[in-house]
Amino acid sequence: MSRAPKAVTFNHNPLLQRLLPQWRARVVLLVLLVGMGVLVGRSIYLQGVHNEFLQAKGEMRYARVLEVPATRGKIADRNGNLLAVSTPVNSIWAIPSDARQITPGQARQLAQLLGMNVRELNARIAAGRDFVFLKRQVPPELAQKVAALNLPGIHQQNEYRRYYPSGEVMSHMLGFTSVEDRGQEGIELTFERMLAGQAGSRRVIKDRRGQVVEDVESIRPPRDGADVTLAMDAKIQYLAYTALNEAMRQHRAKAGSIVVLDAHTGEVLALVNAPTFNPNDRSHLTGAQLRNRVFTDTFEPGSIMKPFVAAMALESGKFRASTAIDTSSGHFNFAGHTIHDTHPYRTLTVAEVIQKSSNIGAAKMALEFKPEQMWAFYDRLGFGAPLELGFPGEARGNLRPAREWKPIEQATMSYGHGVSVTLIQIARAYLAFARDGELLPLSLTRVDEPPQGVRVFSPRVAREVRQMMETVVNPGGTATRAQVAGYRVAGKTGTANKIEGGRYVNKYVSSFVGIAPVSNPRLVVAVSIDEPSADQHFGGTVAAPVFARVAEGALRALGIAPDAPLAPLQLTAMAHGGEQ
Amino acid sequence: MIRADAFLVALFIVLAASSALGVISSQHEARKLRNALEHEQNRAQGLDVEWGRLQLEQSTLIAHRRVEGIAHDRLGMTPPRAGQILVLEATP
Repeated sequence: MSRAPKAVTFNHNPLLQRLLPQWRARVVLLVLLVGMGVLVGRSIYLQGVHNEFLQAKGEMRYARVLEVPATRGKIADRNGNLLAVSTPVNSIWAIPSDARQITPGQARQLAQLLGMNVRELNARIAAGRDFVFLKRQVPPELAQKVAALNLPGIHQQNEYRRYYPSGEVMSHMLGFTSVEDRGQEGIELTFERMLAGQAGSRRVIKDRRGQVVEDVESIRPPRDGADVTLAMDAKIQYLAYTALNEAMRQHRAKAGSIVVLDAHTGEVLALVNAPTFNPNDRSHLTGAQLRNRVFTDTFEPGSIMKPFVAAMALESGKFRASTAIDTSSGHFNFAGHTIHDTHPYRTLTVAEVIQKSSNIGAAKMALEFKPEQMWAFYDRLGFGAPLELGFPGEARGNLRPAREWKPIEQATMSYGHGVSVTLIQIARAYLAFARDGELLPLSLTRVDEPPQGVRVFSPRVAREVRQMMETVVNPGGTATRAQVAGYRVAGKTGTANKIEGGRYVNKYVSSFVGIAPVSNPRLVVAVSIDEPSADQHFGGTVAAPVFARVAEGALRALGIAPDAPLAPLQLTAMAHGGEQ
Repeated sequence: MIRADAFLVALFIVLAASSALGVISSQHEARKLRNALEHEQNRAQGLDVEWGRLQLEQSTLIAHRRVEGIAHDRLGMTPPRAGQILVLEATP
């Protein structure tokens, strides 16, 4: 079988036989190689060098980082009544360069919604800055109306605003927050770390319509602030607030403070100062209004120190309640000075020294002790040292070291001159009388387990001094107006001259610190009224009635059973009530 | 042999295609659910806000100053005096 001639090979091609010049093939090859090189180079540039930028650009089309807001914790009183709550509000801001396109008509509309002057609004928009707040913290409903106008360059931002429903009643206790929702004063500042939430953020993918379609990652989870439950009882606080303001008005006083402590737990049940302020509207705030006097103002306590001297005297065994002291008929010359008593007596027992508030009696007791002993006693009661509750601006008071004391100073310190304290220090020291000789650390937050106390004197001495202080409010004492119907109460008045420019002047701090009920003390109430300038200035007439009013209401609010028989008049009233 | 190979190839093509479709539909489903979740979360947040507002309103309404004002001025109430209170001892 013959086939085609063998000489014909598959690669036989007549074109090849024309022998094209070699260089043409080389040129084509070179062009292809260069082309490929350019492509490889470009792709290395895009994928390697420029990668991040392009990825970011790509993600920008659909990926978003969203802020996840966290709320600030609430503050509640011991019974769960809310005292400080954050609610969402919106702040309206503008980018001035974009906002210039707004027509005058639109500007008028916007100004009307925001309650601003059109001229003021235009001035803000005309500002040369990149960012300007038009109005901060507007209610959500209003913000929606502004958003509905859909104006160029006008934007909104979600924020929180703190509201205090009780207003000025507890402003010093609670304090307030800044426009950035950070604590500035009071509990808001003290417990800032607990209360403050931490906003989180997450990366998401949004679709064309702006809806989140995928959660890419949670960058940081949000953490809501923790709630704080205070020791304060809103009812007692309100009582103290009204009683103090009534007294301020009646006595035309410059300032005043009340502290109420729970003797069982050391909790601060109420704390008020006057003058005060409205935490919801702080546009006209003065320094005097802001002062939390209970913590920041020191004063010479005066006679309210005497029970401590009596306790020291009884504890040493050198005196008994019935020991008679020569009170020199109202004038006692000592170390070149004269100590006076308002009501002169020839001799008084220790108990009567407290009842009649004799300076001479207290001084003579104190002079039986070395300065170091007396200093140590005052020091153990917490004078001269801050309580460190974390309240801003707390004063430490002044108790100078014993080696600097002159004898006359030791004498005056026995009746509360030459030593300065804060009202909260005094109230805490009185816990020792209410708790049979034990001091407790105080607490601003609710305490469920009473803390361990520190013994400063014996239960016997505490009870004896408490009895002496009960005589203060009974007939013959300096503060009969501190009586509370149905309850046995005890306390001590104080009327101290104020010092101005290093000299004692005719201005007074009237005070009263009381314990109720005496049979099983539950409350310590400390009242101080600064510069009462109506006709009276004695602690027994100015501060004692305030104590009575607060103690009466607080005992009832706490549901404490009366421990005293009712006076005959009251019994008749009850009988009549029964008939009806 | 060839028929068996062709059958396997066809089978894998069908499997791959259906799995691809499954991925698409489950992705779509996931996005729909995510969207619904987002919607509900927004609603929850809105309710939370409203709850806060209601709490605020409640504490404004029960503020002692207001209650006392109403009790005293409108209802003519006064706090009971000591003699008007009877204390009953509860026996356990």
